[in-house]
Amino acid sequence: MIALLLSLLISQNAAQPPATTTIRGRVVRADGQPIAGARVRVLMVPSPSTSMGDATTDEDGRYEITGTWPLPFRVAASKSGYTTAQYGERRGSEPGETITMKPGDIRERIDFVLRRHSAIVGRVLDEYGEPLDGVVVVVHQVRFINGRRQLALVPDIAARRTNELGRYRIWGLQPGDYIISASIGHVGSDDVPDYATTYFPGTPNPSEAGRVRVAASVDVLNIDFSLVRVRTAAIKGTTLASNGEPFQGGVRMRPSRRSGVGLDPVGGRTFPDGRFEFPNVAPGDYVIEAVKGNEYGWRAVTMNGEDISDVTVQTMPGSAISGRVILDGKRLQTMGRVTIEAVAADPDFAPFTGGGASADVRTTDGVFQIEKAIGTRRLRVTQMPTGWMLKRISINDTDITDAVVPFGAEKQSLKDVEVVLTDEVTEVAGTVTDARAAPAIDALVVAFPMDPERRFAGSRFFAMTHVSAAGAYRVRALPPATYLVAAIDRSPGADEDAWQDATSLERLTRDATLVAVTDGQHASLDLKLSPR
Amino acid sequence: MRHVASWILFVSAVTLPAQSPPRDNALPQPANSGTIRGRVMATDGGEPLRNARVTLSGPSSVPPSFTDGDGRFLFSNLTSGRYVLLVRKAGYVQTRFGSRKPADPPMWIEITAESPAFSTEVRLPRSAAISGRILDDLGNPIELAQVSAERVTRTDGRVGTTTMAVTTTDDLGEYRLGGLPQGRFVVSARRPPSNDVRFTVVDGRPVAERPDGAPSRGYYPGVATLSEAQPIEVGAGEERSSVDFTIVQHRQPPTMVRLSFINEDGKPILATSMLASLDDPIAGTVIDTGGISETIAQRVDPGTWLLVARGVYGPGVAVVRIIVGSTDVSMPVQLRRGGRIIGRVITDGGPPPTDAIDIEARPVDPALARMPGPPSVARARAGDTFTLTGLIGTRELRIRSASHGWVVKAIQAGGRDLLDTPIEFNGDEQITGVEIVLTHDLAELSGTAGNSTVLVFPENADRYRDVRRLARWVRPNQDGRFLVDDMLPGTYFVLASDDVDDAQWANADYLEQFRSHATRVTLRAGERKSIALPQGANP
Repeated sequence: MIALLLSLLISQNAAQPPATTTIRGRVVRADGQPIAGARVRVLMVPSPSTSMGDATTDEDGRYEITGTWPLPFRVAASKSGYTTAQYGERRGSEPGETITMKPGDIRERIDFVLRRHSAIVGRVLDEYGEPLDGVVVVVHQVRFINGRRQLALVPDIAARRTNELGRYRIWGLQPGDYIISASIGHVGSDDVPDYATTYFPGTPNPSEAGRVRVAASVDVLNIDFSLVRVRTAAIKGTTLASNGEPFQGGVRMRPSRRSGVGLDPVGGRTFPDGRFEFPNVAPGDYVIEAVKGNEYGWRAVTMNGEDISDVTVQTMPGSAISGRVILDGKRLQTMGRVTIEAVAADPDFAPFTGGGASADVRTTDGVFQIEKAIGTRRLRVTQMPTGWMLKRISINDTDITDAVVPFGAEKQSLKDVEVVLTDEVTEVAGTVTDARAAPAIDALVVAFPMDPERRFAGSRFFAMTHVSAAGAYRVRALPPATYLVAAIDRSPGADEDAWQDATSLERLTRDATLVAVTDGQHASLDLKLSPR
Repeated sequence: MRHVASWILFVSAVTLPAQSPPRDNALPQPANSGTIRGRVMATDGGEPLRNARVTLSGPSSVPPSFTDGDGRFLFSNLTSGRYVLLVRKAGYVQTRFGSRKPADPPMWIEITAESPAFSTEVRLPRSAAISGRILDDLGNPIELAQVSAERVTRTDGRVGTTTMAVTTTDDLGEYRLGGLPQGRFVVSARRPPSNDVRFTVVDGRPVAERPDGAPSRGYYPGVATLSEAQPIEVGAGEERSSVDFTIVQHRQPPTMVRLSFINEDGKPILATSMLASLDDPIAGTVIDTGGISETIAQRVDPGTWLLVARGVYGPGVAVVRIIVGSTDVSMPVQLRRGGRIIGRVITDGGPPPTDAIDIEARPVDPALARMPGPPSVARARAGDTFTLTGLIGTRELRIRSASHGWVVKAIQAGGRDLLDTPIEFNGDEQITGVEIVLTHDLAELSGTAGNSTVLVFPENADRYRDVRRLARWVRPNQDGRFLVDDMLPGTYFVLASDDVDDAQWANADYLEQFRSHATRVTLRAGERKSIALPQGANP
């Protein structure tokens, strides 16, 4: 990347010293008062950490930067104690406006309003109310990731350690709801006897964590809590390859994704004879993964303070899935690019590193073969020609379209899978208006199945679309079923799929409209955006 | 059979080895029968400290434990051997068993088949804290400044520092250095390093510039060098707040230094390089000029700088002193092949040690010594030859990791003593025929010293370049017995003292004041002497 940028720079500069370019502007607080000493930087678009010029504002908040910028750039202003802003950004964390200038150009009024950031301040204590130092305090947000509500780290907010008074201060926060955790050392290491990762206001269970509401430009004080003493215990076991031979290494453990915590896995201590050990594991549900080459294996373990010493994790060689894609169309059609994927149905029983098992379909005869599928999975068509949709996946006339199938052993391989695509694509279309009967152009339209069994992460019965500038929407290729369709506000900062969460769907059901979709049907449905 | 001293305490340097080396013990020991139990209490008031974290390092791998509500802890199923016990608790000074000051060598706790159980009390003094704000010259807080509290040490006339606490400022510029023992500390702060790189084109070639220069360090009360710094004295448990200061910016803006690396034929060559400030050689800025390139362009504050460059492909080194004023510097730096030392490791008789030794040509210049980079080290067994290459600057030969029971007796080349004389390399000097003589003919000094620290140092201590080669600073074991079993024959002074300054114990001048309180002992090769020392002789 850098090399390419440099060659661009050179090619544009080699001939003669080019005329310089200048930008000017002002950095102020939300109340209009100037900010002195703010840093304004010209950032290359493809490499945002590379500054191509910078300046510091004067006492009136003004700055001027002159340089040679042959490439598009953005401008950012920062000042400690304030949230960093990019010029022209619509909301925090989205990139700002891309600026391109010719040599000799001067651009005025590249101005910034910096908002004071917020902070959370508190103390971490032990069960006697005495301070604990060196405790790592982390801020999380509730996010909807891979079809699950999970705790996720807040981008750009660093973890902090408590000092010897047990005090911590975490700053740089935008307004919002946060969850605070505190822990000593790493789970599963030798270094954490008896203290669990604890969530404010004092629970080891993330689902019982209290939310800390942070308003704009404030310090939220006294977020004090005590680490919870638990009975930690060791998990010991053996890793075996699929041929039954023990092997060393390649064993990791993480909390079950069902617990709603997106924590990274930790490695265990391993021995040449295939034994492994995770010391100091707090009570809870965990998954242990063994990896040997392309082979994977998992075991779920529930800890309750007692050592577990006989866990065997055996890796599986993987199953093969082969079959044919059949085009069941009215029109004559040659096979375009079609991809079949075995998508993980349970995040606990899929490789921790992610990744699925997929194969492209041979265009000449529609034959496909997926190698090395491991874990519980559903077959999906992840890519197909436009104007086509999935009709059915079956094996020996048994429908397995949305079935969860276990894979891993050779004998779990599937042959003669039939994937039928149709060009009779369903459609639900209409308009969305707001409370004043105006086109609700910022709304989203979502469709979800009546049948709760069909509500799972990545279900093809979920659909979402944006509303056009004219206030119209169109949802295509919904599989035949009964649906609830609703228009919702596009709430800033929310995860795109957050509406699929069970509690959100429950809420949406009140305002949704019922639609039955049948094979190839086109339905018309006008929606009203309900006020919140 | 060689007598196996099972309670030698401390080996010649201030830093303590993390684990004791395995010793050939003749008697089979029943495994896992040892226990160490104890109680942790506050020094003042004497109340038990609950939830203090107790760690044990030694032959058994033992997870740390926390004291119970009555301050008690217990480690059981320990294998025989020597253990160091460390206790920490927020608000108290981290303390090793047997150390009365944090830098004191600790006492080993010796667990044997004969005495498998040990019980003790560990007392923790309350810790002191220094807090304040770090500001820039506009009075604005500096966020994420790196703040540290250091003790100033002196060894052989060289000033050094030992970092006792580090922290970073928050968004208000506030810091708190806690957990400090009582003492005098120099407080310094450095702006967070900037990763900004700016690309410019010079003569049609791209140059990556660091626009910010290196983050400069400032000392309380707002001065630029260690020598101007005003130390802060804190007593046990004392709080010093409002230790606010400004990181002084140089009035002149940083000056651009452009260097191009060339080989002996004058052709451009790829190199890695670093710059160290010579204005404050002990604690001044060290800049990694970043990456591998034929040229560097680095902004630095005006002053005297030492450049060290190393060729990336093939040999080549350069050490250049650069005086930077207000005008930009642009100069070629020629990488030379560097000096060589070729020699042999021999013994003064008897069977040679089985393990190889590491021979290091250590830089003497403190600025050069602070430069990160691969050390010049060669490994050789007795009878083998060794070669050290790529040497530049003033160096001294030192031995690392000799087998236990072996000590360097002499390093010489053609009658020239290299053990206590440094060697200067300016270009391609070559020193051959170096002999490193190891000896096994050592003397042993043991005895009783109560609870005091035992100090042993040679007569004429000022004759040695590094007196730590012969001087020893040890703590007795839990029974008050001490042993030093790796002494070269010679005449020594030995005493037990309660007040040895760990920051300067290895200074000949400092040792001199102990002479009148010490016992003079002459040790011949192979001799074992035992001595009962009066406790607590203080100058």
